[in-house]
Amino acid sequence: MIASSTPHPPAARLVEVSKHYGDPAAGGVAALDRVSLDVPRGELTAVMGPSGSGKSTLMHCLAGLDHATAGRVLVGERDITDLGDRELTLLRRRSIGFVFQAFNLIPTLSAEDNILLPFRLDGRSPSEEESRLIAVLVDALGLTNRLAHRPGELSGGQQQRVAIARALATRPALLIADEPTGNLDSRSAAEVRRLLRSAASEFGQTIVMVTHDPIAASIADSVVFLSDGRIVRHERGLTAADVSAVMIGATPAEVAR
Amino acid sequence: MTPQPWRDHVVTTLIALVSALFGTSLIMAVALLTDTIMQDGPEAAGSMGVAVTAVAWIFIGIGCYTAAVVMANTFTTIIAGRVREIAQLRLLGATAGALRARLLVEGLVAGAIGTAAGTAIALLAYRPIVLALVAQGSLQDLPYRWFVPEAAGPVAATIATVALAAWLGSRAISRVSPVEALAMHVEPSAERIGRRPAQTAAMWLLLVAGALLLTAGVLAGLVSPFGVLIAFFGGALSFTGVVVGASRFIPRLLSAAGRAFGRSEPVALARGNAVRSPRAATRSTIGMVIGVTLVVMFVVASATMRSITRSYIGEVDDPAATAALETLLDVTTVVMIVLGGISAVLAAIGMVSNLSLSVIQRRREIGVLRAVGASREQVRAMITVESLLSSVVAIGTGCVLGVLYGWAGAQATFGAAQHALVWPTVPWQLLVAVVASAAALGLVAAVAPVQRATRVAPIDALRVA
Repeated sequence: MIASSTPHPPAARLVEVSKHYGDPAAGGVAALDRVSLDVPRGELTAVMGPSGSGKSTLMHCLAGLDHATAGRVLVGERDITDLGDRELTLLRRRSIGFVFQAFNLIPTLSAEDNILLPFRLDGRSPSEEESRLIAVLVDALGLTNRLAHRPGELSGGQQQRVAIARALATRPALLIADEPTGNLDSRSAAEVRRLLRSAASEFGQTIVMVTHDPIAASIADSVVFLSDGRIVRHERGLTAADVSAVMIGATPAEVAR
Repeated sequence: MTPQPWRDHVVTTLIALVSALFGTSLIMAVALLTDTIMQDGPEAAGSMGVAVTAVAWIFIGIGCYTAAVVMANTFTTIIAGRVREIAQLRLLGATAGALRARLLVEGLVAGAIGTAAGTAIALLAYRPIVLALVAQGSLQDLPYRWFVPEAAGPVAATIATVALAAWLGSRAISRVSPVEALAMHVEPSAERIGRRPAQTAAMWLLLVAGALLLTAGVLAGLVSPFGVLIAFFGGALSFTGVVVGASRFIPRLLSAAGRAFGRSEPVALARGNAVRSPRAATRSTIGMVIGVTLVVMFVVASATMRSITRSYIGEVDDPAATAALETLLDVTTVVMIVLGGISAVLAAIGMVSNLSLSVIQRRREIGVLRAVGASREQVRAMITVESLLSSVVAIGTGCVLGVLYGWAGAQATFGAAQHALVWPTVPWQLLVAVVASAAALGLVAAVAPVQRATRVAPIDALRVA
């Protein structure tokens, strides 16, 4: 069976997306320059690039957090390019999960309430099936004894696991992870990498992870390299060493410094 | 310390302005009264003048007390907003004392501007008002003085109040650790909650001693009007106890009041926010508690006095005496309501600034909420409920205390007329006004913070530091 002949529809797509800050005619900056990308369903895609390469902008456009200047953005089959704030809010609540580098959780809510937040914002409790999934997640993430704790009483790694549980609980079409290991010690970082990897492999969760850590990127099914607002490479099955080599090659200016 | 340090001090300037305006107006009112009485003979003016001046200064004192509490809160709020800068400066070697002195100077300058403005407004408005009253025939055409040297008194009192408030309010600077400059992702924690045994002891001592004196005053009032003197100290002590211990009960009241708003997620979040930092929550409510207690106390006191004395006068059956006493009660009540109203206005300003600051501090958190799917309406509802909780709890607490103190004051002063305890008289208009003002304050105070909060974009959650 050849993947390209029976393609699954991608989980999300960027079509010729550009994002300009200021007027390009007057020397404005193009953070993204006609970028097209298909995010494969059920896979973990890493987005890499040096600072200022446009990887954050790419993520913001993909997640409906920022409007593209030109091009189309699709999540699933749905074109979200021109959605208003209300629809985008519902999209984030129901179809997109977020894991940030830090400060993911609401400090006044317990770990459990943080996990249930997207449901409660929807004015409902999780269904029986969703509750079962949450129970499985909580167990798999080792949070069973931590549910009643506030974020302030949890370690950084535990907080990140709560954030992952929250992001997975709604079974989103797309999980966006922004430097998810950036703020963690090496053991917790390894744990988070393993969890994201198995979320993709075992749950079939589509994940887009923005990172500048070659080790984090090495767990991805494919790695997208950005430089100056363009995709310069898109490779599958890279090791951390491969990723580092590409990064160094792609940014000679940074190496020279 | 910040690019725009003066914006932080706008509230200080406003409070100093209102306080100086109030004080100077009282002094000029005394001058007007003395000028009028002077017609009847200098001797009468002498003794009356002293009495009236003493009363005016008691009011100025109450005004300064209220202003000091609210301003000290404001300074602590400013520090809470500058924790990171302060920590950075401490890291670079600035001493806590130097930073406190700097804040004190900033506060004094801001306070001096407000004081000058307030005094100027009162003095400049005095002449046209008096001339208008003369033209209208309400006042005799006399050679009134347009300025009295005593007007310097409120100026000095207000400046001293600002200095004291800045010094007390800036104690928090010494609790900021330099390490907080390095902590990138934790919430600034100017308020670590610790057990403070000294505070607990002081609170109970003041409350118990105050309650005992208040009771003694009420009982003494059954035989002599001098009971009010004992009751006054009882009231002052117990109220100070309430202020000292407020951070213990205000958060609980906020959380309990939250149940009235239903169980939706914005309300649950608002309840959590209301109690997350007990001292900040207390800071934004206690000023209002003071203002409302003052207003309600005097309204209930005069209503209760009326009901006691009316039955007493009824026995004497002297319409002229009744009319005179009622006029006196009316005038006193109006003055007191103005006084309490001004403190309520000061407190409202403090409430708005506290809520705005808490929104600024929670920018990333609100971004997280938006990112995980909170709509603008839900954020708006959350902030509005937070504001309503503060105003409902503040006004409710003030109301309960005001009824208690007002009743005790009336009972201690006039109880001897009937030699019996009476129920407090609470006019229904007061209850309506209290409910309406709680709702209005809560909604109005939320306007600016809501605007700020709904402008927070989900991207703000992703920005590091």
